[in-house]
Amino acid sequence: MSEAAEPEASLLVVVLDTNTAAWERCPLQFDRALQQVVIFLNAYLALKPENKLAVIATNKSECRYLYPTEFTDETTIPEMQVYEQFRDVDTKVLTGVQKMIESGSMSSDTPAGIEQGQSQVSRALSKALCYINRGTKASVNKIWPRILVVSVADDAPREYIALMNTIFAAQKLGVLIDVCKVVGSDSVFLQQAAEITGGNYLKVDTQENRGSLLQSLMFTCLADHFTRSMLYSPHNDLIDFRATCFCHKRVVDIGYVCSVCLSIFCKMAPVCSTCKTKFSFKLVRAPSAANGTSAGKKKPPVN
Amino acid sequence: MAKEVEDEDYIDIDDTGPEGLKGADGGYAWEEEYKRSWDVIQEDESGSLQSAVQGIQEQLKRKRRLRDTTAIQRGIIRHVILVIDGSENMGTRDMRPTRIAATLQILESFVNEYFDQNPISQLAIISTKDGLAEKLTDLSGNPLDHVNALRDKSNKDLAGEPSLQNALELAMHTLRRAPTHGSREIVCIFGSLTTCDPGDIKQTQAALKHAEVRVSMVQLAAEVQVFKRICQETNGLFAVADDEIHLKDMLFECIPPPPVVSAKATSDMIQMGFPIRASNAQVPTPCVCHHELSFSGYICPRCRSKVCSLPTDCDVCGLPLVSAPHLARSYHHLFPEENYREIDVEVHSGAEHSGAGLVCFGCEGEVKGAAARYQCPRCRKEFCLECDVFIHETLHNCPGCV
Amino acid sequence: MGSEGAFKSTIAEYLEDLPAQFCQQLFTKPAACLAIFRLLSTLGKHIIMSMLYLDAPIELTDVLQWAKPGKTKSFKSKIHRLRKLRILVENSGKVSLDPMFRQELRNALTGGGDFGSFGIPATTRDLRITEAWLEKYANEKWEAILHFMVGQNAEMPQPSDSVLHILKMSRLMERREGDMRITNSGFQFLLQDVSSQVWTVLLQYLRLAEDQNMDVVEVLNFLFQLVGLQLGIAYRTDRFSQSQRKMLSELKDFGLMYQQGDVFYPTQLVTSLTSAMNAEHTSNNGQVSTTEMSADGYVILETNCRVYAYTSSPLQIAILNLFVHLVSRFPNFVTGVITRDSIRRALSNGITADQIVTYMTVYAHPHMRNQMPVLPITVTDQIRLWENERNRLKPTASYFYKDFHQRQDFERVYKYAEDLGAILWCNIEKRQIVVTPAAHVVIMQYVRGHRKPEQRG
Repeated sequence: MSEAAEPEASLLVVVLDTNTAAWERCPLQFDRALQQVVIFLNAYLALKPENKLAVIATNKSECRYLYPTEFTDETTIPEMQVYEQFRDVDTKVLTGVQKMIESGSMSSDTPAGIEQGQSQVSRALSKALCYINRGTKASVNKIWPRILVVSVADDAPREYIALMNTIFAAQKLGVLIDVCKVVGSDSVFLQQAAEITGGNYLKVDTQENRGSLLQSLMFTCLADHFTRSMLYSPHNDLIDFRATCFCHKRVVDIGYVCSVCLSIFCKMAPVCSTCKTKFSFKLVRAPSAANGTSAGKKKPPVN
Repeated sequence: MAKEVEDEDYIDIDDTGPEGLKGADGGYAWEEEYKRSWDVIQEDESGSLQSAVQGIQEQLKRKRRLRDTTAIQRGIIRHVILVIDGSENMGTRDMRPTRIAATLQILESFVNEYFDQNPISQLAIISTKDGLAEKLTDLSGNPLDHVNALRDKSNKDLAGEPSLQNALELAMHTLRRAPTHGSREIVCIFGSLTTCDPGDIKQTQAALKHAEVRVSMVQLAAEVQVFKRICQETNGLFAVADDEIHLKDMLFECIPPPPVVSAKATSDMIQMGFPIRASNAQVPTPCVCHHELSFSGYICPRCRSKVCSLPTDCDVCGLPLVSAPHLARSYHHLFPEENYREIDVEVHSGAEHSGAGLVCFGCEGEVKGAAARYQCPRCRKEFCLECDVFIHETLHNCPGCV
Repeated sequence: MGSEGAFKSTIAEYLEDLPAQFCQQLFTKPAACLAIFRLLSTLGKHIIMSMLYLDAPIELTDVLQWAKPGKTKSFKSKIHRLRKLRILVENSGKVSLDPMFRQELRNALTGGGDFGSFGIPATTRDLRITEAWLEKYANEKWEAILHFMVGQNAEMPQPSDSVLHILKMSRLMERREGDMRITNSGFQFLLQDVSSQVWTVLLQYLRLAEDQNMDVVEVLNFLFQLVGLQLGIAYRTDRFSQSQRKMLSELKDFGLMYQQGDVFYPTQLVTSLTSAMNAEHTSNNGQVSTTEMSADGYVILETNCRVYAYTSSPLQIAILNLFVHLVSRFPNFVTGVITRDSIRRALSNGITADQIVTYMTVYAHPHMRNQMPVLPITVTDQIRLWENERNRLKPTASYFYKDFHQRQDFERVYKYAEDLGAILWCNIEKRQIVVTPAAHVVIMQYVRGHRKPEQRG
């Protein structure tokens, strides 16, 4: 029998970046990309009827669930040529995105500290993890959680700590984070997210041909835990785990770390700019290097 | 006085005299009325215990979720010395298979978890047997070294009596060289009720207190006054483990970084290396830590030698090597999320006339009418209990505030 | 789960055996493509999805390199299966999906393709018919059939003729002394989970359709279309062909759907067919609900072989009674013991130990599911031992040679038979050999060629 040990269902949360400003820079049009993502969602649901799905959209000003939602459009009768489950997801995602774009274009107020091309990825990931946490606890059967981030926006340095917290929480929960970066430069944060949680990081070159986003998603991000254990995944060997200093945002090889708040600096400073601690004026070298190897061993006592 | 003492301290005869033995009702603890724990559980209208059990579970969860979130300075850079009792008393079989085997096994996971949560901290292991104290590993930041030392079979050769004083003195000696910006801690695991010391342990205790070393101990047998006193005086924890699981819980309490109380603590800038991963090498090269050939590894940015794993200290130039995520792992200790406020359901639903419950901001799940909801004091978003616990225990991020 | 996998593979095998042009015709319907896709193994699905949006064929050797070392074997077998199903076509070392299949599976995902390929929903519907109602209806129908098979309740109305006919054709029941009696395979059938049972019946229905010279592709397409329908939605029948209506009316008797005039409602028996976990009927809306699965598990098995079953369903009790010695019954639960006698009784009915174990695993109480393995090993091992007990004696036709006069004679024959590998048993001291019937003729010729032997058959 070749169908040995069929794996359990998966729980996928898709974090969809709908930042219009960032999508404008993309050669692939947003509605095209959205269509491809929707096909991907359908393919995911087609894999197993037990597969669970949630879609969270985020842009610069908000972050909301597109699916599942309570909202049902009563007026539409089911279409004839679409599988019912797909139709439900598709309409909710498409109308949800539509609404987000509308409300986004109306209110121009951007939360402080966020630039045009940035999105609230860490908030979306936090929500996704809350959802997964509840989903895995509520499910009687084993369910394998993972997250797919379709990202277009740039990294927001302000989000670093929050994003790192979510990454470690994901690691603890055993959640894989797949990342599909569509435009712009590589996201250093999300690369680390994929690397630490064991997911795949994928940079899609949309200029080459228009179908490649969907093909890449299908090939790398659709596989469940079981399939991944059988197949090679595109591995990114050159992940940069070096830190950027807080003062100049430069990548540093050897940095100076504040012992109180762990801020990283590229050169010595008398006061930590993050926590305002005054440093005692001596550079501490490696603690253990100072240690001799032979520690004084006491003579046995005479009892 | 007697009433307060009851919880923590009723064997402390020296301090409180016979008063210390008094129970909550003023009588002795063993005179207290037998608590009929099963009376607490009440059947509901349909004769089911479900709701009662659920209520108890919720209470437990709630208790867990309230923790101290005041932004205190925590010693992120720690220096912990593990002291393991290697005396014959550790051969007792009240833990499976023996005390020492169970302890070593738990310590292995302790070491890994310790470096997971305190990636830029140091650890050393000391064993005491036959009245001697011996260093198994020196202070270092590489978990593998410690785990290997714990796996050494000779740890299970038990002999004679332990010497707490010798072990503490050796630990203090080791810690003396630790930089002042880091915390100094000693965690002991003792199976013996006696210690065979060369001098007055009170002096050691005073010295420890002076050096601001925090001593914690987990006893496997019973409470011992001397041990407990040392822990108390140095602001450490003292606990007696009931079984393996309890032992693990007690030990793991020492893993989150403790608040800094020391007046002597200074802040420094620590020089650290952030190596890049070397890979795709055509020829395997030896690493400086194990002298084994491998294709991948991390290159020390100062001396260009190759190490196998992070975090560690470079074996050649001694530079602490970490990766940026390692530092990030500690951030949540520094910036804890505020506790959420529980919202009075009656008042709330009365005001809104909804009653149907609301949607949790985190998981988008419906919070049923009667169930409690929790509000973040900063962003005013409301959450269910499940998310509240998850956010504060694992995530350390309020989805509303980030 | 084992038994279910076996039955799923039979539908896959059925498809493999179909002639090529039938497959091509099947692939013209998106619903069929989707249903076939869902029946494949996880790895097979992944291979298809990876190639679905590739336009050019790719080298087979490249595809094989997707697999990690050590997994290539099972990977190859999956590719082989796909080729047998004619989903994957190979052309001079390059592979691609069957163009028709690719087109229609894409259509299934994007919602393109024919009008009404996933059923035509009715505009009006009876609001009383909810999902819960349908579920109850289907379960009642199905359980009535199973109950009829167990044959313990005479008051139960007899199922319709078409149901009886299929039960008889599939040899789940046979007519003995004027009554319908359950057969050994019928007992095995009872212990399967519901979706395997439905598949068994549907396969039988297909074979029956073949015998009646119906268009198999049409039947299959219709079945796959049913599988793709959504629970709780009303569908119109007025565009159905004559034969489709006939099928509808026949399958209706199994509780696969509920018909009301020219509108029908598929039940979870048919909509959850392509799902792997069938003990529960997921509502398929992507929401994680806490009540899933808890409804079905009811058996608690202790290490001391005691069985506690929280059920009041006569059918479930009757099924348990097949292999459990029931001791007492309460309003909402029964207790019993698994004994050697009760297991032997089940074994002699043709039920296998694996089926018993699988049944109890599938219907294990939610509390049991937390432990690994679900059932206590002591009990499952004991059940298997009891099964092996029955296999201690195995009759084999054979020839017995004895009374050799001379030692050399015996040794020569013994050596010759040993070279043939024909010796089943021998005793050198008493000069006796037992050989297989196939070798008997050869040995006789050999013996005759040398010396006159003594032998008895």
